[in-house]
Amino acid sequence: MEIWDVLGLLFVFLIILVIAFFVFFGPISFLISMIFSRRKHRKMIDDVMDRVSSTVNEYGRDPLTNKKNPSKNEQISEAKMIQANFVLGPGWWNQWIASWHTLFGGNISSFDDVLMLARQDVLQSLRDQASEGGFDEVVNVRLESARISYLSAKSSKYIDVFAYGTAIKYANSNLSD
Amino acid sequence: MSEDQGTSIIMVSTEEVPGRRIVKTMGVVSGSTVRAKHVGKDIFAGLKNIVGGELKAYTELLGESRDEAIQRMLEEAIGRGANAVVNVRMATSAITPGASEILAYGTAVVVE
Repeated sequence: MEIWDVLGLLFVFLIILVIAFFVFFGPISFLISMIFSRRKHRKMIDDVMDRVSSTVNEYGRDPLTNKKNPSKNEQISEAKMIQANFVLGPGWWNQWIASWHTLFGGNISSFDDVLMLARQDVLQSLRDQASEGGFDEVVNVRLESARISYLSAKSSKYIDVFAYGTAIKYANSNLSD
Repeated sequence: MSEDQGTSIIMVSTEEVPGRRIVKTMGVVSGSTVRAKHVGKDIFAGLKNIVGGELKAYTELLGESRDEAIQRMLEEAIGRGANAVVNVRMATSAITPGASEILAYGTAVVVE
């Protein structure tokens, strides 16, 4: 009989645990999001901006342009398309703030931050690819963003930011790679 | 990306291949793909979205999908006897709540 008592207690305890998980998961996650998300996003932006400035220093200028043609009228030895993407989860806090802003309107600065993070990150990926491949310049850079939806309608909150351009290497490249 | 599977085909997003002259245009070529990730990764991405930031599983998935779409476009271009694809553009569209389509298209050309 004793074993059944213990098992019964365990079963009740398990059910309480499961209920507690479902009751507290939402509020606790929301609190975590509220406390940490802004700080995390600022830190990620600072990291990306550091990488941007180091690449710009390496080139002496920003290698990305959205002009259609190369900036120098020189002979070109290689051209190829490069691309990068970043799927952004805006975070519960941002989603909540954004839903409130639909009532009053106005600028959602924390959402601006995460979108800037995604855009700067994809552009930096293009710079990194250009630098690794020894390319002098990336022309015709384009940025696109789309809401993605895979499997569940829930994931359509995620935003895909995508950048592509044509990396160019001049015949007498002045980059030492 | 410009040279795939041993076949030398140039792919650029500009209207012309810089440094080369287009001798023949072979028409518009396109490639598309629709993909989905398994549920486990979907749940994990959902947890990562609490704080927010990059969802690497989805970034990889979309990267792979774009590569696949581009590969299909290049195969069509090779089939037409082109050696370059110019003015490549990418588009994403949510066709149903369950899946997204990635489309790559461009103009197949023959360059010198």
